[in-house]
Amino acid sequence: MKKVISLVMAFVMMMAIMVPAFAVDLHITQTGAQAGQSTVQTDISKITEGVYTITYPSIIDIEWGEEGTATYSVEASMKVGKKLTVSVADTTTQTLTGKLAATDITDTLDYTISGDTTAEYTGGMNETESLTFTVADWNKTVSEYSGYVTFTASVSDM
Amino acid sequence: MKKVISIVLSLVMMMAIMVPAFAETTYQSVSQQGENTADVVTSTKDINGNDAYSYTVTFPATISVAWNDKSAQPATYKVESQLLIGDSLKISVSPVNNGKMTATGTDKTLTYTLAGGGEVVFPEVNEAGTTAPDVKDGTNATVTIADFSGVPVAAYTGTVTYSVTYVPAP
Repeated sequence: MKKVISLVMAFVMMMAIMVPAFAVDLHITQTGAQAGQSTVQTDISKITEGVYTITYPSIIDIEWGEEGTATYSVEASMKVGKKLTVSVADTTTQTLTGKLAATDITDTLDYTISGDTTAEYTGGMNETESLTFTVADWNKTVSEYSGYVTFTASVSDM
Repeated sequence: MKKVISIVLSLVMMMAIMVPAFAETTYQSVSQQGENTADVVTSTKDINGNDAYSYTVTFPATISVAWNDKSAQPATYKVESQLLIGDSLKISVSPVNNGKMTATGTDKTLTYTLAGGGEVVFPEVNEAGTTAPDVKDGTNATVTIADFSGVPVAAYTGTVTYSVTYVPAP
């Protein structure tokens, strides 16, 4: 029995001299692809209703005895829910009829505006509109008669 | 027999008192005058045992374009890195859905074009603010909306993707 115990103790003590082996960390290299995203965004903080440009002639010529024609163009980008209205009228009467006066005589010519005298625009539009100027009676002294028309732009809710 | 066992046990006990030698520090002894050197060596791991190499790529979260502004807007990314010898970063920028931008309330779209997004290879070390190899605080990528006509005014949005690939040394 003593011999058995001695041998067991000897074996245990032999195990005690084993040097512990520490684990080695694996070196992992980060590879592969990564991605991130950015948002591209239009800034409309300074726009309240939309942006538009109305281009119209500075002078509308009417040949004596003929109808006069003119065009105007509208390029508009309106906010969703908004509409642009462009209208044309005689500056003095604020209607589609008016008078052309001459500087050297008292005669006047009555005229009427017809065609695209009122037009509406929503969203994004780029349009060219046409106007016709008709003099009712040319039986007047031939001279240079003139008047004014007004182009008005207004924005309202749809 | 007892004497033999006793001798064997004694030898075993002598071996048991040997302390395992951990290989953290090796000391040298100097026994004569003269210059003696010791090597100073850096590890590729930090004080917490983590890999010490790192990189950061910074890019804008939002690229804002004022309505009707047709000039190029910066979409610049910046790189800061300390990589292992021979490693590199490949970075590119690309439009999503061909640059199409959409908005709520309309089926109309805008389109942006991206310039300067081609793949660029960055070396191991790039100080903060690097926008190209050996270039700091420059502009590398831009976004342009060339045409705002024919669409209602709205907040249109699109997406740009920044791709980063870490390439280990061959």
